[in-house]
Amino acid sequence: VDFPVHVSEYLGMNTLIALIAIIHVMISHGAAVGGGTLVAYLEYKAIKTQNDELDRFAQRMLRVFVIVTTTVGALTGVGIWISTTIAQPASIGFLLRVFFWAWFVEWLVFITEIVLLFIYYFSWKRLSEPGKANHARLGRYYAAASFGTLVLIVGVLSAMLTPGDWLTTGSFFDATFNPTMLPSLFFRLFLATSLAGIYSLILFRLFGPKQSDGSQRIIPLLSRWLLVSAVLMIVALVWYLAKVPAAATALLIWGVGFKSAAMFWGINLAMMLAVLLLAAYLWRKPPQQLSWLAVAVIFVSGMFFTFEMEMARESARKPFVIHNYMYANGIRLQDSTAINQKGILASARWSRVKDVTADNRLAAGREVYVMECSVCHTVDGVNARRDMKKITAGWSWAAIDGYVANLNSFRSFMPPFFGTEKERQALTDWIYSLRGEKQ
Amino acid sequence: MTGAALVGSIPWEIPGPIWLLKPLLVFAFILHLLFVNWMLGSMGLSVLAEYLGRRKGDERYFRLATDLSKWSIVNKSLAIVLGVAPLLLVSVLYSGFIYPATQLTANTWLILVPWLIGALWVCYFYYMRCDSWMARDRHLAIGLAGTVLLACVPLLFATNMVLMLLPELWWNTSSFFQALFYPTVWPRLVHFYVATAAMAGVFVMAIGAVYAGRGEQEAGYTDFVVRWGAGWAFWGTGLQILAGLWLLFSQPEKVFAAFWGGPYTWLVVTVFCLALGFMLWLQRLRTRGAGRVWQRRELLRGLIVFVTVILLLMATTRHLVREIHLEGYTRGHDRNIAVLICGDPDKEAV
Repeated sequence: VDFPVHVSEYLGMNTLIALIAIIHVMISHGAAVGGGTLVAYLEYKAIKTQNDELDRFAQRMLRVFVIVTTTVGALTGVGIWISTTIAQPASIGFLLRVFFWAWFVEWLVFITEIVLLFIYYFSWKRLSEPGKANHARLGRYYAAASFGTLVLIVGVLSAMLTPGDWLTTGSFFDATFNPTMLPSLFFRLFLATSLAGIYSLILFRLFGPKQSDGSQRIIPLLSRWLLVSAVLMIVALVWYLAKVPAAATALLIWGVGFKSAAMFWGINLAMMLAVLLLAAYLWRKPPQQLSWLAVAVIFVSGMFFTFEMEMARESARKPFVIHNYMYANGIRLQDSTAINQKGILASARWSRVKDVTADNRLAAGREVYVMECSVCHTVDGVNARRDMKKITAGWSWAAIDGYVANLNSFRSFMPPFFGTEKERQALTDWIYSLRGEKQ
Repeated sequence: MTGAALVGSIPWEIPGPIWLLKPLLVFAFILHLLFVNWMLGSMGLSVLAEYLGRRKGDERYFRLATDLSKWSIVNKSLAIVLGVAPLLLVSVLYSGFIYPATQLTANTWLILVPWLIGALWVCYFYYMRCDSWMARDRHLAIGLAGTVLLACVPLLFATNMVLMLLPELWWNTSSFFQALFYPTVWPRLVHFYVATAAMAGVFVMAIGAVYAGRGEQEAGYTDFVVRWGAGWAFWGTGLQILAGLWLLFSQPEKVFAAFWGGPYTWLVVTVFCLALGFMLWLQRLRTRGAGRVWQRRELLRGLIVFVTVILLLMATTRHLVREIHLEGYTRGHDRNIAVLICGDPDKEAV
């Protein structure tokens, strides 16, 4: 409660972060880590089989990946940083300090990655040109650097959910090598290669060589890549879920937005099966040309799954932003007693109202909302499930007040209310006033 | 609310010795800024070269425009990625200042992301149409749009860097456009844009230096590129001396006093002399008789020495400006910084 709170009226900052992060994952994983690996692999295959059409296709794929990763990929990465800084300064400030040297090394790896990417891209050679083997080696270095960027960031992300011994020892190494670090690394690696496989099928449909011997050999290559990646990813996912706390697993389904577990499993298993079967079919019986329908089914499933996983990862942590250390609204566990005594308004450096009086109840209530709720909740926002007005529509004053007083028992994924009784009642007043009626 | 009451802190140790992290910040920052200058400069000069080529009917300008647009792609990506370390360091070392400043201009920061993605797409498009659309109106228009989109971005960064130095203005600040007109923002921006012109000149000369190593058949183009770049570097540096003085005189009294008669006067004098020396060197190159062959090594040596020294000193100056600004606020907030700047308050008590 040391920093100002920026209220995002329509989405809520946490939803905005999640959206930026999902786009970032689709590109950083699919086009950079997975894409780099796949292009390097295809170039290697092209040399080995002297398939010039495959070589040209790999080059064109790389061009798309270069443009997408260096624009949307890079900037959404910056976007995650900006949006988390705005929404969660206390949390991100803490993480930057704990993982400072990891991020510093990440910076060096990023520079290496970008430099290699541009050299690799601008120096692409035809199969017949001298130095082609060296060029292919450059591709492997680029893929390795991309993988390096993934390793470092996975340490940070997994520690936020499963800090392990870190919270007691405070050691950077305990934080990085936390219980879910390895499973999430492998999960993300194979998610990356799967996404790359999916993108490659779309790109092949868009500008792959057609109706020739060379093209006949490319579709099986790409679909086999996708199939193997997807299977490995599922194995890693099972491993990961086994390491995640049970309470967090239960939150996954809710976090994605499904009403029932049956629906969640039904849709996911159906999509996964569809992708696996299609990939297997394309591998064993490659058609003359890919059908848009097959490509669309694979693409939509892949995007939906990525979206789901990121949403789930974000919500699995709840009610914390850093497990057992800091709540989603930036309040530290260890500060909660002091805040309950002193009041949230008096504790918050930037609150515009410092005390609840008879005249300022609504203004004070809104300020409490800004400090404690607005990171996730909105008023008249796009997501009805997070909209304070819609959630409490038709509730009596006493019902709202009772709910706020026992938030964490009603909703295990929400932090408890922090502050004095007067502040809680002011918050209730304000929530009640949203419907435009007088009490 | 007083400014000091609004400076928050992160209750966790700064992850390294300050004597290491602050110089690291200065170094990482100037490296980032150099590539920001180059990204904007190479884009802007590419469009300008295309325009001049069309007006003068000189093919060499078209070739330079193509070279520059290709490099602007690389410069942009490096500028972005090089920004990670300075952002990381400034966030860790000045958490209590950078976070409020960022949050007070939050909406603009969030717009920055799609804005820059759009700008970069426009620049990629410009680069990829260099062969087929060179000298056409629409190609020029696209290049100009890309340059303008990029040129807007520093407005936000400069504003944020100034706003973080002014906690006394935070309580009544509600938007970026308000903070954009706070004291020293515009002199700072002018100092940046003029630097971009000078550094773009340096970049063009470096391209010339690359061609200088390619022998006889490139001699004509090399000569053209080096002279054109040297012109930009020369006039850019000259203007930059004036812009720098304006920025210095616009500083609040305590900062100005430190550099004008105070302990850091040597910095201003040294940079001034080095800038003059750089201009003299450039002028010698510019007035060299036609037909002389350019030596890659000679060009690169001069550029690297002058630019590295001047930039490091300017980055140090910039860092000191920040430290002097924040002197009054750090005590008791962020202990590590407070100890470094003000001495250890506990020790003083003993």
